[in-house]
Amino acid sequence: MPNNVAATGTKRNNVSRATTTALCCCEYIAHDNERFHILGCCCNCEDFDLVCTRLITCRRIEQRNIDGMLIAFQDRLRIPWHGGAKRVSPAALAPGLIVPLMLGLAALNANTAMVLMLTLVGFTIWGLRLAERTATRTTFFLSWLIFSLLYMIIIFEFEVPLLELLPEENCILVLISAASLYCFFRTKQLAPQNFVTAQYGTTPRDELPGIAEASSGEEQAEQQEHEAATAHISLQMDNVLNIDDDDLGGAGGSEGASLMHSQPNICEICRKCTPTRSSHCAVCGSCIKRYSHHSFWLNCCIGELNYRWYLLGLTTAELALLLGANLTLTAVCHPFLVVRFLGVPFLLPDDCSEVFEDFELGISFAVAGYALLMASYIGFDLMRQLYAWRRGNTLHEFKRTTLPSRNRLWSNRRTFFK
Amino acid sequence: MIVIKIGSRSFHIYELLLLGGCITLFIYLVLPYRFASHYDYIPDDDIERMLLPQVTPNVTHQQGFDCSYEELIIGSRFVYDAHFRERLLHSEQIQPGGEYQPEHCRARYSTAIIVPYRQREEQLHAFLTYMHNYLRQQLIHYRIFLVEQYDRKPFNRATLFNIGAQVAAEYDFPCLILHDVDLMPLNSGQIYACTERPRHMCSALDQWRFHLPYRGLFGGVVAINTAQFQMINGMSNLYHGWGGEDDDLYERLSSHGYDICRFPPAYSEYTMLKHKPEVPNANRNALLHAAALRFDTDGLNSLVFTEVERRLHSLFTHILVET
Repeated sequence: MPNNVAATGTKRNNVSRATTTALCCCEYIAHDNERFHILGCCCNCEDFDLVCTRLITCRRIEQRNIDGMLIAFQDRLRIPWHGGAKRVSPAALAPGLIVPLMLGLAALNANTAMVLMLTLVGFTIWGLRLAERTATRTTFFLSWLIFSLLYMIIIFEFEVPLLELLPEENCILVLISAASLYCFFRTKQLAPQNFVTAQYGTTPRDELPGIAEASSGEEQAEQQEHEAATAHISLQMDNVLNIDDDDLGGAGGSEGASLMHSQPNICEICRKCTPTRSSHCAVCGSCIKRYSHHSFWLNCCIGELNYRWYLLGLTTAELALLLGANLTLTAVCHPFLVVRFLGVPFLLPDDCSEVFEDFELGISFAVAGYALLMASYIGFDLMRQLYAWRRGNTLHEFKRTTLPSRNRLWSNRRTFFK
Repeated sequence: MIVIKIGSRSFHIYELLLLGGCITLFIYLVLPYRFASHYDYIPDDDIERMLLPQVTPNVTHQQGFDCSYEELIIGSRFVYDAHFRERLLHSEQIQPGGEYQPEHCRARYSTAIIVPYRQREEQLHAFLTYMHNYLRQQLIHYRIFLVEQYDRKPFNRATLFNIGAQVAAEYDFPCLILHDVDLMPLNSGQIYACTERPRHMCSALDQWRFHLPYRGLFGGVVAINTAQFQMINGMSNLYHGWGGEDDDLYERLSSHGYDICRFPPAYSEYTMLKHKPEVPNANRNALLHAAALRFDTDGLNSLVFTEVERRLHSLFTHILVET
C-alpha cells in the first residue's frame, strides 16, 4: 500500500516521492505536503483525536485544534480523479443532497410541493443576491444545476411511464438536451479567453504615470503598488468631482473615466488598459472583453467569445425543459388532444388530480413542475438577453443605461423616505 | 499511466472510458424498445372495403335500400362532446334489450357489443348514454349485451366474454365486439363492424398519450367475427383478476394464423374513464407462459356457468351469471 509507505517514511522522502512519481487516481497531496490515500480519510488526524479526547475528558479545547480539524475535514473531502484525487467544497456537494430531498418531499402531496417550490424560488433569489453583493466565487449554483439535471434525467428514465412516449419524441428530447449541454460546456470552456490579457494595448505612460504597463508581470505590479494606489485615488477623485455618480458603482468607474478623458479604457483594479466595452468582473477578478454579466449558474463570465454559445444554450435548454415537462405531464396526467399534426398528436395535460396517489407518478410530476420553474426562469433571462442583444447591447450596458433612470425612485427609496 | 494510441493520436484510458460510457449511455437513451411502438394500419380509403357486410336474418328480410357508410368514414370527426354524453337523444328509437337498426335504410352490419360488468354503476350510466347516441349515428344494427358477474370471486373478464359470445350466437350475430365499460370512442369514423381479420379498435387511447405501448396489445375494445371466436375456442377461463387474458387471446389468434389489424390512429381514439386500478392477477405470467398448451381444452368448450337471470332492459340485454 503506497500510503502506508508514505505514512511511515520520513517527510523528506514523501515530498520527493510526491514530486517524482505520478499520483494514482485515489491519491493526493494533503495540505501538509504529505502524500495521502483517499481510503485513509478517517485515519491519522491528530487534531480530531485531540478534540475528541478533550471533549470526553471535559478539558478545554483550543481554537487551534478545532481549526486544524476543520481544515483536515475540508482537505479530505475528495473524489477520485485522473491525476490525483480532487478536492470538492462542501458547497458543491450540498445540492447533491438538497435536490433529491426536495423533489422527494414535493412528491408527497400538492401542498408540500407548492410550499417547497415557493421556498425554492425565494431561496434562489436570496442566494443570488447574496453572491452578487459579496462577489463570491462559488460552485454552489453550478453544482445545483448539474445535480438538478442529473436527477431530472434519472427520474425521466426510470419513473416516467416511457411506454406512452414515441421513440422519436424521446430522441428529440435527448438531442436538444445534448445540444444544450454542449453549448453550456463551450460557454464555460471559452470563458477564460474573455479575460483581458496582459498583451492588450499599451498604456499612455506619460499621461497616467502611476498605472503599470499592461505587459508587466505580477512582481512588477507589486513594486509599483504604492504609485498605483495613488493613481487609483486620483482617478476616483476625478470621478467624484466631474461625474454626478448616482448609480454607476465602482464597476462603472473606469468607463466613466474613459468617457471623460477620451482616453483608452483603464481598469483601476487590474491596472491595465482594456478594450472598449470591456468591464471588470469582481467575481472573476479580471477584466472581461465585451462584458455581459457574470453567470453564477455556470460560475463563469459571459463576454465576447462565449455569449453566442450562452444564448444558444439558453434557447435549447428552454426547449428541452418545456418538451420534457410536456412529455412527463401528459404521461402521468390525463391528457387531451389539442391537434393532430401530420399524424403526431400534440397533447396538453388535462386532469392531474390523481398523480399524488402513487409515489412514482408524484415524483415525475414534481420533477416536471421543477422543470417548468426552471424553464420560466430561463425564459425570463433569455428574453432580457435577446432584447439587449437586438439593441446591440450587452446585458451590462443594457442595465446601466436603462435601469437607473427607470428605477430612480426605487433605488433611492432609502434616501427618499428619510 | 495507461495510454492507448489510435492512429497518430494517443488517448488516456480514462478519456476512452469516459467517451465509451457517454456513447453507451446515449445509445441506451435512444433505444426504441423502451418506448411506444408504431403500427401498421388500414389506410383511410380502404376502410369501407375491408368491413365485412354481414347481418342477422331479421335484417336480411327487411325491405328498402342499403345504408351508405362512405360519408361516415371519410367525414370522421370528434364526437365526444357534451351533446352526446349528457343525455340520451331519441330514446324511443331503441328497442328493448338495447337493440337498434336504422329505420330509413337497411343496415349492412350487425354487431353484438359484449360488455363484462360488475359494480361500476356510474361508468355504466355514462357508457350506455354515450354509446347509444354514438352507435345510432353509424347506421348499423347492434345490440348491447351486458354480462354481469354475480358472485364474489375475482372478476373474470374472459369468461364473461365467452358467455356473452355464446348468448350473442343464440341471437345469430355474426360479429362480436368485446368492449370494456370504461372505454368510449372519440371519432365517428370507427365503424362498429368486423373486418376480415380481428381488429384492435382502441389503439390510440388517451390514457397512453394516444400511442400504442406494444404491437401485441389486443385488449380494451376488440372486433372479431363470431366464427373466428368459436374457431379459436374463445378466451381462456382461467384468468381471475386483472391482466393477461388479452395477451392470451392474442396468442390464440396467432397460433391459428389470424393476423390482427387496426384502423388509422385518427380513427381509433378512445377515452378511458377514471377508476381505481384493479387488483392484478399475480399468476398471470405463469398462465400466459403455458397458454399454448391449453388452447384446445380451455375456452368455449370448457365453459361452466349458471345463468341467474336474463332480462331485456330498455338500453341493454342483462345477463346475470355465476361463474
